[in-house]
Amino acid sequence: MATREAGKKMIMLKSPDGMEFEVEEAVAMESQTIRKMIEDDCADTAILIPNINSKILSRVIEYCNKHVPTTGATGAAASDTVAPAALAEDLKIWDAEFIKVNRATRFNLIQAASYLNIKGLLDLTSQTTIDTISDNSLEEIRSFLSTKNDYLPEEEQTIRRENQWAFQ
Amino acid sequence: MPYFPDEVVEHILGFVSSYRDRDAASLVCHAWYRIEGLTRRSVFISNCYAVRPERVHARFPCLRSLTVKGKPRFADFNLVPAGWGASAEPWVDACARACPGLEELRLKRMVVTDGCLNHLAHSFPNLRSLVLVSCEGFSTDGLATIATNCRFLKELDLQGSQVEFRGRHWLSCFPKPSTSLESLNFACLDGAVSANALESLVARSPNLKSLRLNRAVPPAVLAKILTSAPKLVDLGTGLVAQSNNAGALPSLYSAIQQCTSLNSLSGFWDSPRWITPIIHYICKNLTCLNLSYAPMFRTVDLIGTIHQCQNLRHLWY
Repeated sequence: MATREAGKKMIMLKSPDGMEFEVEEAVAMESQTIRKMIEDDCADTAILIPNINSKILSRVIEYCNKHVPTTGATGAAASDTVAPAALAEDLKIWDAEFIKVNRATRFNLIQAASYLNIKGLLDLTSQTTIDTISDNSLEEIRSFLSTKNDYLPEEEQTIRRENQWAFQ
Repeated sequence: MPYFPDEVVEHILGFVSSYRDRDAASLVCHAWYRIEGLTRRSVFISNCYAVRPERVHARFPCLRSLTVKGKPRFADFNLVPAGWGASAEPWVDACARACPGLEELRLKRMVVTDGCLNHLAHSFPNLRSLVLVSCEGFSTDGLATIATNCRFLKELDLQGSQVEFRGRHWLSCFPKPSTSLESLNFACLDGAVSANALESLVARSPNLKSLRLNRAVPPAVLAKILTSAPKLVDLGTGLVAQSNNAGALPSLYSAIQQCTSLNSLSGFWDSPRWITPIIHYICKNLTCLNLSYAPMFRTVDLIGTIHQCQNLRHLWY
């Protein structure tokens, strides 16, 4: 494993389209999937991240960089001098900007967050998706999710009736 | 469209809480229907005859909180004939079979027998909340069974229910040496309350935040209770004017000033002469005030104190 900058451990992440990203180990370990690989000593050379292209992977790394706990000399934002509440508020504003992406990118980020097991990013992308589709009509939701309606008309009618009579 | 694995859909649906949005999610496609059903923890049945209990458990096998409404609203005005139905029994039976992990049960305008409460008390060891709104058919014996067996109960609310009085012992059945009670409402109960049992219960319920008493609790007892419930936020006083109780008022007034978290008052049945000082003492914190059962309370009685209640948000009058 490469090391540089005052002994900080670096990890190489590779996307399937051949791009390589060198990131601090602490940043990479925001992903529980990568953390497990490192802890199991499966990360000697570069780690190949399947199914996540370089554009999405770079966004994920950007997210992890921002969210990695800042301790001592590691972080840019010195947590010693900033109140935790202010830090949390700053992160919230940053998250809100970060997630202003198109639908395809957001869906890719959800998949990436799920595969890499990054809870914060999965929460953020899921919540944003729900905020977008809540109060929309069923057709709008299906179209937003690009989901195919696999109900027979009578099946859909039965569930609709049950929802309406019993569960509202 | 990227393919979402089940666990991602499950995670996304975790952010959907309203029944309406959950119903919409169930209609998206088969996969969403299945995952929504598996992840719905809280189920609301607006009419107990609209669906069979077994069907509810088949569709929502992991539910933890169940709300069922029985008779129509005009039952409140005695416009529904006796024996109409709305028995809670099939619901409790089905829950006991399919969902022993149930944590919350809320029933409205249903017939709940003591046998039903007994079954309930022995079937759901994790029950946290039992709310019976405008229900009938049970007695204080049923309440005793609940108090004895549901050792983690946080909320017991009998709002507007008709409870047959068969003795005072039920209040002393809650767990010892301490209870998990956060909310207790027996304002609807006709019949005496043991002052000792009530004082002891409040003293061993350190998390009690809401307490709504019935009309059988004299001011002297209320004063004692308040001194041992410093976290109380919501109080239904049950206060009724009786001239022989007037001597206890100074201690009640001084006790109420010690309740610094108190911000909601209800359960006044009489006598503005008593109420106005109480409102006065906590007026700065007061956000909810319910005077709807205090018919002798006149506007002129309110004017003197209401302008000091700067944080008041809800007023029933």
